Amino acid sequence: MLFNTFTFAWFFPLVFVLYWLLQKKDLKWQNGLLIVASYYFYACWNWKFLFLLIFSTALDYASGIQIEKSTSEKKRKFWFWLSILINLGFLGVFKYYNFFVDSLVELFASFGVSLHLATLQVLLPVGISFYTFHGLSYVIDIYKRRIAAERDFVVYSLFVSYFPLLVAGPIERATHLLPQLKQKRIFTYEQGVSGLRQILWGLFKKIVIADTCAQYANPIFNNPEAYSGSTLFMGALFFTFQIYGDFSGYSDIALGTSRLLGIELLKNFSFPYFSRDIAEFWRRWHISLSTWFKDYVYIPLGGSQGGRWMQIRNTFIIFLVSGFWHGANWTFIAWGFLNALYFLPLLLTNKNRSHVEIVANHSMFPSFKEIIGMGITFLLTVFAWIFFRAPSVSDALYFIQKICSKSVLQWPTVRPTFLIVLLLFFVLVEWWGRKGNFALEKLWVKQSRILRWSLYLLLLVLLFLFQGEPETFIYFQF
Amino acid sequence: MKKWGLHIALFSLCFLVLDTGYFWVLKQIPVKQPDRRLEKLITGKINADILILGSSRAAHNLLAEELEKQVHQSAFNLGFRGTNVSFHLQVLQWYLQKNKTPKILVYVADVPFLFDQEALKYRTDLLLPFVCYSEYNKELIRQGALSKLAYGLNFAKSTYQTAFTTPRKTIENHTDTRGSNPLPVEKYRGNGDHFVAHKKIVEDSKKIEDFQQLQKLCKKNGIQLVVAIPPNNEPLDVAFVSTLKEQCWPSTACYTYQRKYTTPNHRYFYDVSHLNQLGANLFTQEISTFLLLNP
Repeated sequence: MLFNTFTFAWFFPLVFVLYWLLQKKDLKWQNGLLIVASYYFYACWNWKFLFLLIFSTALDYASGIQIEKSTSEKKRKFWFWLSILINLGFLGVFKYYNFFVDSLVELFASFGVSLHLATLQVLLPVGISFYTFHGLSYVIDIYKRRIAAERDFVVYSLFVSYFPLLVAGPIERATHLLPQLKQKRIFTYEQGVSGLRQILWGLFKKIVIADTCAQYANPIFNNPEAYSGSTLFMGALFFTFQIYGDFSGYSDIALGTSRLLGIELLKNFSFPYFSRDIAEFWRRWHISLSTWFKDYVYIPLGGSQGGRWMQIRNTFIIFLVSGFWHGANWTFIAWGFLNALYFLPLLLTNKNRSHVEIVANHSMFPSFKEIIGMGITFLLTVFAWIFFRAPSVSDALYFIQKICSKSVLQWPTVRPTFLIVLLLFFVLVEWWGRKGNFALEKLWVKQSRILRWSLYLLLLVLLFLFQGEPETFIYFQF
Repeated sequence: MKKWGLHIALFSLCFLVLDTGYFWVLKQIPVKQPDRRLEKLITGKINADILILGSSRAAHNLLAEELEKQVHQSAFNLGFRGTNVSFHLQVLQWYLQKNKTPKILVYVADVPFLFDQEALKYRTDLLLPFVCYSEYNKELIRQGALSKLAYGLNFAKSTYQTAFTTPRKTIENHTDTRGSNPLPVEKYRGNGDHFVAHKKIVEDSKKIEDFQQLQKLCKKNGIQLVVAIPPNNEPLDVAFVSTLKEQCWPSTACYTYQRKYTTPNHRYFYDVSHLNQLGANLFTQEISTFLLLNP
């Protein structure tokens, strides 16, 4: 089930009403309802993979308890590695097996040896990368004695399969979500308004911005031979907005939906395209994944505690793993590698934490230096996205090569004026709202209701006018 | 919760008022269209004795005005570029619901693509500008071009393209008073273009089924169905004609062009698959003669 479909438009209000009607009963009723709703939400995509989700949940639940209960270190290790290996095993089989087989066959073929290895003809279970990471962080935290194992299976199941975050995150932490699932939820007016504002903005980002950009970016990326360098650059630009609108839009809808149910999720995006350097960009883009890798990969590897070489090594590892997490294709690894390269100068000059606050935090406009910083960072990310979107590394290189050719000076053949106006409007609203958790959070809150409602009505009308065939969310494939 | 619910209700009310007002905008959209045949069709303003139906081969190759003059019966052309037989079947159903039943239906076969899986589409984009008519709205929802919200909400009935853009009059969407779209006599545009001969393997069972349904509908309503095969600037595709004849009922008349249209200087053709106005005049004469001889 997609957030931007008619099915979700009846599913969620129904869950919402039942959920708050059950408030007077025991908390277990509300959690029970959320479990049923979450499993239904997942089963709408493919009910067979529900068993995989339930198995993964049961495994981590049991492992967590066994790790905590075990008195000997040997047993603790056994349960820990059992859970880690099975979880990663599922991920490996469903997501990476075919990639490794194909890469191996290609490698041997380059030496003139022909290998015949069977590939799997299976679907990638939606959200497997997300719920596996939920489970992994939970088991690692128990093993490291950071948290206690959860004894209530319903609560733990909900932690893994809670429908707003089940298929595309944010990647939650047990320390953040589990306590909320065990306490009574209350509904406040402010929460209700804020939730709806975030859903509205998320839908706008997805339907109006991302899906419209996709209509122009897709044909350009699918047939780069037919376009000039300048048009290819426009295509890359449209994809840059598409992926941001798509994924941050999904996160906004997830956070807003959850807020309406009285549960706060981790923030996943914080205006990444206003970053002044690439380090800041990575603190603002897919925050829940970046911090996951920092806590569970980077720091265990030694983080920045060792010497310079160790820092560089760890940085490259984290970016490459992050790229590979996104998909089993060399393009994602190249994308991760490119970002590590971008990061390197900041690391070597100790400037990777120069910009912690949002740009122009105390003023309306950025300084000239900030504009330059934002411009360069934005262009670097545009180029990196080419690898992310292109079907192969050679396609991406061809794309870039053409952008760097003389044909970049030609007038682009694809230049939809209405989309450019829409993107300017979008950037303007994001700029105005950059000091909040999401663009609409504080925008015009103190202004008259007429003004605010006019804005909501405008966004709503645009949603309807731009709705077409609901496009799936890009991050579902991860 | 009460205050929140009340505000939601008030906001929804504002939205509904705005949405109701938007119907006025929806009604203005057809006015901007150069080709308003679908509006005429659904408002029952055609009522012709002879109806021409098909894809671009119908729109460009048969001239309803000429046909009227020669046969002395009213005629109207409802040929739409790039459309498939499923679309034509639906157009005929709407026509019969809203207009006087025609005596004759000339269905122009798209040689060799009529039953082809890939070629020709159910063109929902043609219906979108006329979404203010409930029949088209329902069909767009059924075809998945609009969401189910379009059953109730006017904003969900249109897209930004139909709402805000004014289509230009082009060679392809300009029609005469009787719905035909004659192509100008100018330099031939089809040099180097060729068709691959029809093969059984490319046939689409749904399209064949809809062709059968079209014949059934004609029979049920007492309409004489004439399937016309216009010329391409190529030798006649015998495999296609044979398949088409296999699919025609005994009551369906099948007319293949007789005159030799292909000349070394492409005199009668606009491109490889369409006649220009000169050629269309000749083909219309052929069909007129056939209709007069087979009353």
